[in-house]
Amino acid sequence: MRALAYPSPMASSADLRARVLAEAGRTPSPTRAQVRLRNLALLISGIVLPLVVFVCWGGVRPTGRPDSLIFETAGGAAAVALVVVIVALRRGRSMLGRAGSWLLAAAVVTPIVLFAWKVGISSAYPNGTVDWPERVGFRCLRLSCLTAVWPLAAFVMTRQESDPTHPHLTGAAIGAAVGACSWVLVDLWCPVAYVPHLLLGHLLPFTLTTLAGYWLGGAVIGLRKH
Amino acid sequence: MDRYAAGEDAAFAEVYDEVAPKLLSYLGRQTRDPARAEDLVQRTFLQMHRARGTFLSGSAVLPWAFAIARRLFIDELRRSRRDVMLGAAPIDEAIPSGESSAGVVEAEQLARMIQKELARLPETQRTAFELMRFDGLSHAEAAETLGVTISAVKLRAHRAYVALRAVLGAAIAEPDES
Repeated sequence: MRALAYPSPMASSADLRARVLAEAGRTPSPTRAQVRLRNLALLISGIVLPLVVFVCWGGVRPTGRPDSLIFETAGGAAAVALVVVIVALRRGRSMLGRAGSWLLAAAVVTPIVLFAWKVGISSAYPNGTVDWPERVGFRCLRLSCLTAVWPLAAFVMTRQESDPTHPHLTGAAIGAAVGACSWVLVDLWCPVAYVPHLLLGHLLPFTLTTLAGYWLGGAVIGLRKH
Repeated sequence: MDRYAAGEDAAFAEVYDEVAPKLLSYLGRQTRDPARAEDLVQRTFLQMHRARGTFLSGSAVLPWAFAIARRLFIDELRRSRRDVMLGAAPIDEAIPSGESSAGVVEAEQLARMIQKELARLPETQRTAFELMRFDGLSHAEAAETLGVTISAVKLRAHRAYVALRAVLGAAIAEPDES
């Protein structure tokens, strides 16, 4: 493509070059190998810690649910979570990550799909969405938050100062990815598919995680003044 | 950049030599202040330096550098709350030397018209147009820089071309990159 001649480029001064190279020489920066090691530690801890919390909380609890129902609801949610994790955490071949529309879609569409999947599959089973008055959803809310808090922090840290274009959206997408993974664990633990329970115990923490990711994205993933 | 990310410090000078003139041109156009442009270039390179460990092997450096520069410029603009140029770059910079006086006058007029019409465009369209037309970025590179899809950047640039062509006619032609 032919670039317009207007306005013409300024000359890059030797003085500026010297200043930049000298400043870079004085400023420590980790190499790729160091960053990979740090990110690997963060990723492993972000996977292991919520699993420990999940096991300590009781692990998988069928509580009268047929195995097929558990397999279908949790399996479908896990497939959704995998897709969102790939969209949110992997940058593809670009240093700048996914386009904003992809990240926005991950943050907005994921909870709708997870919720619809859970209600839809449970509805196909007898008493699948029956009300459990003694289970309002606060325990699920707590479990969701506990399994999401560290992975969110860890995964956001792996993208520290990496996104100058849309750090908030990247953070929100990471929040949605973490929320989706947390949803799978809570789904394995919780037998209730009553809609008000799902809204409070499952969907609300997902939304909180996404919003926290949005905020953390601006603070951590975006460029900071040095 | 790959070698620099792997720890070869001397490679940073090569990255600088390749990218700095383009960034200076872009930021000079945005700020209309050579000192501010140089300051932003310096900060852009320091951001790249600090983030070198995150550089993906084989990814393009230019869109990344432009995106950082653009973000730093926008942040600085917001902080200073100063109105930015959108138009009045020194006309004499635009005119190639050695042209006849008639050519000079014509180039001046065209530059003024482009300035005026660019200033009227929405920021998203203007930026897409400038990155591709002034800075020579491809559709893919401009899309990456702006964090949007290639289709979106094509649409923005096309709308800018349509708006400019309505005023400037054949003086400005839309590139045919697909």
